[in-house]
Amino acid sequence: MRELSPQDRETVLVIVADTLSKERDQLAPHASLVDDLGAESIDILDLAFRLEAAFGVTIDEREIWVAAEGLGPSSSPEALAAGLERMKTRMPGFDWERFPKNPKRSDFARLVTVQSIVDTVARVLPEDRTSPS
Amino acid sequence: MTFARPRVVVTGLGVVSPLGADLGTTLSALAERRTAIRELTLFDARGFAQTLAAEVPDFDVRPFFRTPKALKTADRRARFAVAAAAQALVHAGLTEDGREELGVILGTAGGDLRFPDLLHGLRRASTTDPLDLPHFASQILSGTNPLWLILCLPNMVSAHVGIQTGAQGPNNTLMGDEAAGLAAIGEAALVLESGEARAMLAGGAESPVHAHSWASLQQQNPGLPFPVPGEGAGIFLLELEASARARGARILATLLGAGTAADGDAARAEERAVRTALDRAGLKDAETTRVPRLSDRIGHLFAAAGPVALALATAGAAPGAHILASAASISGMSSAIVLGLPGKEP
Repeated sequence: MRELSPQDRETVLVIVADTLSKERDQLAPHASLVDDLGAESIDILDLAFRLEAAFGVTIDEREIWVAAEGLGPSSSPEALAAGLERMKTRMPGFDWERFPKNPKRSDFARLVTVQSIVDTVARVLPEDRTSPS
Repeated sequence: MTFARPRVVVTGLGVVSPLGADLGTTLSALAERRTAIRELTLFDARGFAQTLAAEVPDFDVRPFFRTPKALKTADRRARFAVAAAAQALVHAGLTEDGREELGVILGTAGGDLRFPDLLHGLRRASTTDPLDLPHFASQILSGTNPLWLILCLPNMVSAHVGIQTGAQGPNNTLMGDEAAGLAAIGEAALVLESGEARAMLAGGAESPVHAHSWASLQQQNPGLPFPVPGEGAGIFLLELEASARARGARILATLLGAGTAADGDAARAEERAVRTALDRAGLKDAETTRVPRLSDRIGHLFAAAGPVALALATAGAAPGAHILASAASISGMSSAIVLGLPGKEP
């Protein structure tokens, strides 16, 4: 895992806030973009585009969708179960009753959090711009 | 045997014009004989034969948007339409109830193709022939703003109005340049007569002050300074007379007749649309007052021209007057509307 500089982290947070028409201080690290901040699928594309422009990187939007604990549609059932358990401890405010037991691809967008966006950017930035966490 | 058509009335008007972002401000500016035509500021028009425009002055659209995030996918014409629609609803005193029976039909043109957004993607591939379509599809498109398409689609104007006003009835868009706005009012009346909705937001919205529109207008008028474009929106709230009376609404006008026609000769098409509207109204031309087009003051508003001029005339006409607005586009589509104002109270 790599970590962003405080300045880069702030840039990401400002972009997330702008993309979703929220105030910067409304963004709790583990807030769900979809369930808590009202993001729609087009916003995820918009967010990836803005981050690409700001950081000069390429971000496959699927990167963002699976960014929640590295989970994705191709995750094994065991990895999925373990990852979802981790998410549950990290996102106690998230309404897990609303999350399906057998998630579809589109459901993963609901697990994208503010922190997972920060982590995605840290993953795609060159190593000399990030530090080990 | 004929069936009596249910009567359609106007109960609300909303106007965003280069002379003001609401009906009252626009009427005052007209009364003061002001013009809104000046050097344009929205883009760099040097190199074109026309550098004048009638731009809508800056105003705060946020109060008209229930969901602020929608603003990023709402271009200028959609913002003007949402503001004008909200004003029409307030003017009509229509409550939040029954919005599933409120529909939207608006005329507008194709939007801004947003050259800078496209060029951003093309610039990423500067070493490759930009006309290499497979390369464009696989590489360049991914460098284009993902909101690009939904910012320029014409039907997004009606969609934004529907979403922001909560109108869940029929939602439609007409494209046909000048003729589209008045035609939308006629179409909305048909929807009401069919019983598909109880109230309709209808009119037009345009913002042609951008490089794409300038390029197309310049092509139509090679080397010449084409007529000054303007921007704005004019939206009527139309209701079935019975519903309007049942809720005690103030009736601003009755829709007496509507007509549309198409002809290779635009003037002939307009004449026929006017004749149809007058026939339906049971009136002769001499019994009506023609609505002034105002393009010398507010520029050419294309699909919004007819509705804006008709709304301003409705607000200013004498009791009992019959007013007639018509429009024709260069493609030969035309439309006309006849409104009757209520007489003096006895």
